[in-house]
Amino acid sequence: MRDGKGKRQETKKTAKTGAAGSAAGKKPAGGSAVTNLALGSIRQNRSRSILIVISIMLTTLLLTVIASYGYGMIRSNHVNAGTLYGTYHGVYAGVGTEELHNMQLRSEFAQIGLAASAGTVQSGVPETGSGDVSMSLMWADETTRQLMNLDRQLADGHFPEKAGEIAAQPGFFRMLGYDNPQIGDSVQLNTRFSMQDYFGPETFVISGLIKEDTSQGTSGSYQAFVSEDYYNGRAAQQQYSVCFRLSDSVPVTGDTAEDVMKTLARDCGIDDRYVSENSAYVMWSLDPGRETIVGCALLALIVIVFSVMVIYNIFQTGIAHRVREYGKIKALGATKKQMKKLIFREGMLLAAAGIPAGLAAGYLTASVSFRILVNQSDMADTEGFVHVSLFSPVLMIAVAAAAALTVWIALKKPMKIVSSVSPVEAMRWQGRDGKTGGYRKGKKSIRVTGLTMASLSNNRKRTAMTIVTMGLSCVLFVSMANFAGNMDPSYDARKQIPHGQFQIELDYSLSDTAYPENNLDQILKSNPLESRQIREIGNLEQVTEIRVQNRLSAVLHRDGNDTKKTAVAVLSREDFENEISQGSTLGNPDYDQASADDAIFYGWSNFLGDEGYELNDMVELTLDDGSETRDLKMPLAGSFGSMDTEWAITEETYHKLGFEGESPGVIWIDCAEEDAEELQQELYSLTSGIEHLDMFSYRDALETSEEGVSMMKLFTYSLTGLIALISFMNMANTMITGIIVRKQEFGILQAIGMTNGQLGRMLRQEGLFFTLGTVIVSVVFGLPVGYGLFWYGKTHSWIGLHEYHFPAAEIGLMILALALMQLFLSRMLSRNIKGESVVDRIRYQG
Amino acid sequence: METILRTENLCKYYGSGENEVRAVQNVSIEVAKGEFAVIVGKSGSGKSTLLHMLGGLDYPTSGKVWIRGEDIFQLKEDDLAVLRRRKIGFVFQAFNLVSSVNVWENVVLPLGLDGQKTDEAFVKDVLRTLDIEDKIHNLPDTLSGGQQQRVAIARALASKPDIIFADEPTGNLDTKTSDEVIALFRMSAKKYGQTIVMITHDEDIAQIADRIFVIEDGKVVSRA
Ligand SMILES: Nc1ncnc2c1ncn2[C@@H]1O[C@H](COP(=O)(O)OP(=O)(O)OP(=O)(O)O)[C@@H](O)[C@H]1O
Ligand SMILES: [Mg+2]
Repeated sequence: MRDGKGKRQETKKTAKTGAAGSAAGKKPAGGSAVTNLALGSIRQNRSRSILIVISIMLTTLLLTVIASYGYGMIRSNHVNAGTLYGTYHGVYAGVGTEELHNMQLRSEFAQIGLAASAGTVQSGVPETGSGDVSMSLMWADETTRQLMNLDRQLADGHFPEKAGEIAAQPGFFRMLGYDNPQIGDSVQLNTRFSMQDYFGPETFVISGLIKEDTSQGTSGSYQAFVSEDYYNGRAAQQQYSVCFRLSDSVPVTGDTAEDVMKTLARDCGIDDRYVSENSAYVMWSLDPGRETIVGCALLALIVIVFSVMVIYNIFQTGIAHRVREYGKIKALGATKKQMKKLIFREGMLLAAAGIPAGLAAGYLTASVSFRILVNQSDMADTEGFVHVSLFSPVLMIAVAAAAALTVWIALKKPMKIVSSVSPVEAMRWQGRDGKTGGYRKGKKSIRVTGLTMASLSNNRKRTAMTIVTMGLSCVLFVSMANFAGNMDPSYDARKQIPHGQFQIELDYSLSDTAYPENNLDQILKSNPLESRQIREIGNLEQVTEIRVQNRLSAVLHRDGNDTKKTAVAVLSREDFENEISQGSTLGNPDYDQASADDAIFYGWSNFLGDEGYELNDMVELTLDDGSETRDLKMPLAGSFGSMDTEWAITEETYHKLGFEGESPGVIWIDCAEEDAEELQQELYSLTSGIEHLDMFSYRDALETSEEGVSMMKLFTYSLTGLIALISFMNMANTMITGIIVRKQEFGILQAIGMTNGQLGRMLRQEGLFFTLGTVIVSVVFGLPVGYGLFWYGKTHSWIGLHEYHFPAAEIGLMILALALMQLFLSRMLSRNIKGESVVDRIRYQG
Repeated sequence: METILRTENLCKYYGSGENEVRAVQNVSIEVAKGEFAVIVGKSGSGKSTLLHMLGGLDYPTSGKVWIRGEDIFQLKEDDLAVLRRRKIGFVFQAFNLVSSVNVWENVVLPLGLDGQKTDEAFVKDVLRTLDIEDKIHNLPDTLSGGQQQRVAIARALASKPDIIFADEPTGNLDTKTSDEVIALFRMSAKKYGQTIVMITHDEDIAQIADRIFVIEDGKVVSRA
């Protein structure tokens, strides 16, 4: 018997050394032995090692991409701030000669540029005076042109120097019937300096041609430049827009610049409401601003926390198994220090493979996609735009350090366990939390489900950790996808064209004294929207619906004899609610209440004070639909954020006031989407001869807004895709490792009669548990996070964020992905086990 | 007597060429129902390998094993598993227990997997005889080597199998406990008509066996 025991021990010992890998036998002592052991362990756990390396790589890749993007954005904007946004800090409007003189005396202004409006130009055929396109004249001095990068826009020639010279885009001249404008050509324009003047013909010589702005549609506005002499010759009293650059000695930051400029304005006698900051330039040239830095840091922090969790979890799965392995090595006489070194080296060897690969792949991904994104935007078309390199050694080192630190943190626990417990304890270590104390209440009888639950609860911490990490990755997915999914370009487009496919509206002035026939009150007298041609629209076969919004002209009677002409929109209940939903209202607008009180609403919350009214004031006015007038005093019940007209009443009030006929101000025409193009042509030909009408198409508006949204979506989805990939690796690793380290136990189970079917069921149950846990965690945390993000974006007017949709599709997709993954993994596993004898499984060393 | 276990030219070779290890060679043996058979031999002679094949845990390179007239390697993998949990009890040399469930659950697990009701009184009786009844809520890694082995023995007996294969079940036990375990095996065998095949290095145990297979370099050199 003695004899037998001795032999048995011998066998065991062989097993111990065997476990450490053949590398252990090569060199018995010294530092390289430790490295060899580490290498041996890595080779032995090849599949797990590969998973870890890939996970580290992907995590590093994500960190690199985010860091590079943040860096690139800040740097690109910093470098190109002047090119993109001009080098002026702000503009003071309505500055007279005296205030200008005050400014010139102050040393705070390094450069002062002057510009002024020099009248408007009649477009189209001069006689009819139809104003589809706003065409204006302005003068800008050399400093302004330099500060605003105007000289760069010049294609040919020079800006006007003499009174009769003009410079504009070729499109401007085309609008006036000059199809091929050349420098030196004479052109005749109908111009007037102000609303009080009549249009009169004037001859100019083209001194310069400005580059065609391709983003400008047919219904845009054109600006032509004239000379200082021209302006001075006509202005009775000079009023400038002064754009300026602050001198370097003025202490400003991105956050304080606006206040500084306002204070300076007051000191010069300029109303601080007329101050506008060139905020993009100020932000990017001075410093990126608190918000940007906080945003970037927050994102980086999320990623780092996430990476730590992923890598930590990867090392944590199978830690019990590894601690037992380390215990055997320790039993062979490895010192504490050598043990720590061994574990540390093992982790760092894996990190050394994963981190550089991640850095390289991340940098490549970031720089290529950043270049594509930049090129897609208009920015890159700007002359003088510099493409910055995203490469920053400091950043790369920081990212590598963050990833390495993460691995190191993840390694601390096994190092601590192995160095603090005795070899025997280590060899038996099961990774249980101390509480259970090696006892388990258990059940009278146990089957597959009981076994599953036992294994899950026995590794409670790891189970929870796995679910939380997996859940959090899915939280990121759910909230990001949720956020991106809620970006709705149609919402943006619908802000402009609220109904139907086409919008035809009156084009009018309010107080043109020289051409009163262009004013709303006159237009309403023979409303072009009630013309025969417009009535014809209803008979077009493509048209499915026509909606009308009435409009009244009004004269406000303010203190004394002060009157002002304005327009009043008549809102249907739907339009009313629509305005409310756009936010920034004052005084809780309510349709029924408003109708009952015959109340009136202001159109722009922010300007109510400027207008000289307060909530609940009685507004004295005369309403006019073109045929009848009403003198009224209406309570001012509130204000909407931003409307087409200054004022609004409800449809009910309109009828109560006894306006019988229609006085349409806007009509919306709907049709089947596929008919839109055809209908557009018909509408064009129907309305072409009619004055005072503008037409817009929903599709054009949608297209513009889609361009903006697709950029955001591309960014969000690529980030989400990367996160999803890492999460997948993490989950796959958790499950595969969980299976590999228990293969021996599965072998025992099968030896005592567990069928492959039962084993499969056990694994599926485990998978189901993880999946359910993940789904619960991600929904419980992901929905609030996603909603919070949505809400923040909405209140900050991010593009297309309007109505929150429960992300059912995204969550469904996630559950589907998780289920598929489970299926994939159990398939892979059963293939892995098949063909092996039970004894092979029991002997398996993982 | 009825033959319950029979092999024919059973061979198991590991590796190939220079490194070929002939762990078991041309073993043809028979064990009758109710017999107490032992396998003895030097370390590395192929005892465990043979026992694993007898129980259908390992596939032979060539040769056949019949249990109650059934060629077990013709069975589907799952049918073999069912055969194991109903007709066979196993005690391994090492790595015996499922670490996530306690002693009691380990013992009744084969019954649970088979969907059978546990004969609690019987299991308790076995545990009492093996002197581990006060450990039933312990998890395996809190037990001594001998205690773990006794749990494995209890598990092998709990389902009242037709054949019990045991690889050095008394290897970790003191003489007194070892004697008690052997007595239990014999009593159980008698009571339920069980057959026992056991590997041992203990001369005393070999003495009381009905049949002894001496194995040398993978070959059965004598049988008694
Ligand atoms: N998976 C394997 N691969 C290669 N050789 C193996 C394998 N399993 C066993 N062997 C070899 O087969 C021979 C028999 O091993 P076996 O475990 O059957 O011995 P044993 O008689 O049980 O020894 P002990 O009394 O020490 O337990 C040994 O030489 C062993 O090295
Ligand atoms: Mg053996």
